[in-house]
Amino acid sequence: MKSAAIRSTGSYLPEAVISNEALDQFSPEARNLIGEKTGVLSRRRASEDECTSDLALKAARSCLEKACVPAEDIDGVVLSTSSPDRMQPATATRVQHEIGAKKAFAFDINSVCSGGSFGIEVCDAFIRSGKYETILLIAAEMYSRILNPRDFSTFPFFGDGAGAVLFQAESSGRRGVLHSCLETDGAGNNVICVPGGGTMMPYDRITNPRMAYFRMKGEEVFAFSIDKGPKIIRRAAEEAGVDIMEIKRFICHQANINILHRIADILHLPRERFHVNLDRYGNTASASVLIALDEVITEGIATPGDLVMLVTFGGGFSWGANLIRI
Amino acid sequence: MDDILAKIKSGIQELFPDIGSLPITADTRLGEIPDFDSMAAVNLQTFLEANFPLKIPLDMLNEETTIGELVIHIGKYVRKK
Repeated sequence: MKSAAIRSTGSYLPEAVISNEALDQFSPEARNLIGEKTGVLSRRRASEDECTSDLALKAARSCLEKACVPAEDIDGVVLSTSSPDRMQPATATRVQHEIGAKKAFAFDINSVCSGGSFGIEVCDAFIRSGKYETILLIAAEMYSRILNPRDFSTFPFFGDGAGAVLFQAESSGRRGVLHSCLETDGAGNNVICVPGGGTMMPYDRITNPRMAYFRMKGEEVFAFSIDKGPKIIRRAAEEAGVDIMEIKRFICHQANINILHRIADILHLPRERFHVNLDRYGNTASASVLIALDEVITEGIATPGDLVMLVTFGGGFSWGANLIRI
Repeated sequence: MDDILAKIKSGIQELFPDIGSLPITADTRLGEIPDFDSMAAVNLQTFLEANFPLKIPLDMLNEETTIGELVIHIGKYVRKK
């Protein structure tokens, strides 16, 4: 059976670096808590004239340039975002047009911060079906546009960015996505959400402006992440018949350094085995694991033949893991 | 003092959309407000400092602090001004 092998990766982080000190809408006492509570020291912010698809485009172009694959060869563009350009159509459609992937279908998926794992499973399934050879996965997020700048429980912790992976069919089955696990517990659907702007609360029924912004209950998210993270890692490894000690790098959703440390400790794994970029980029939602995957490959942290595991957790609740041989 | 209480109540209504019909009185402890935690304390601090001419240390905004204590603390500064 064919597998979805990584042909190339790419990413794009906006140029503007926003330090914790620059968030002067909060007191100096509060600003000192940002790094302490989450490990976030700075984040990137898109410029006023950029939208989510612009970040996606730059990540996609970077990925395609490395692969030397013409856009015309792409069969499908799958774009993960929970901060789309518009309510409709899919943000992926503008990306498909701008990169010139003329024969590709294009659509969005939204599994909030777990979108990277869900997107990888979708791309893998397309390729394993035998019907498609080349699928471009992009995860792009611009949370700076959906956050309340005065909400300390969200605004300081997120950043803008995009990552991309070009998957191609591999007939040997030895490289690429070896196994994925996805899970959802919809009982948590109110814990991370943008309450207003959809059909549940249309804009004309919003009475409190805060309802139009992203919000989350941080303590519940923390408890959920450290409960489900280790379990999905063990499950994915066991189902793939791999010892977790064989995995070179764990690429977890970059939400909070304390979550990453707790997951490592629960699994008795060295913390250094867990890739970290949240200190520089903050939480880039579904883009975080694809940006991190690009770093891991570009910097040679994982090389061909190495096993890496992507691990995500986010709104819904939803969570997932993908075991990949580079 | 009534003005200060009214301002704090309106701020809490805005900051905590899930508060529903919970009555906010001078005796209400911050810990009784749904979703009040250390992050929400910063939001309350930001709101109070934007609306009253004083700095409020975060450790004053803990679960045991009552609205009445906040009103008295703010009232002292407002009177001085």
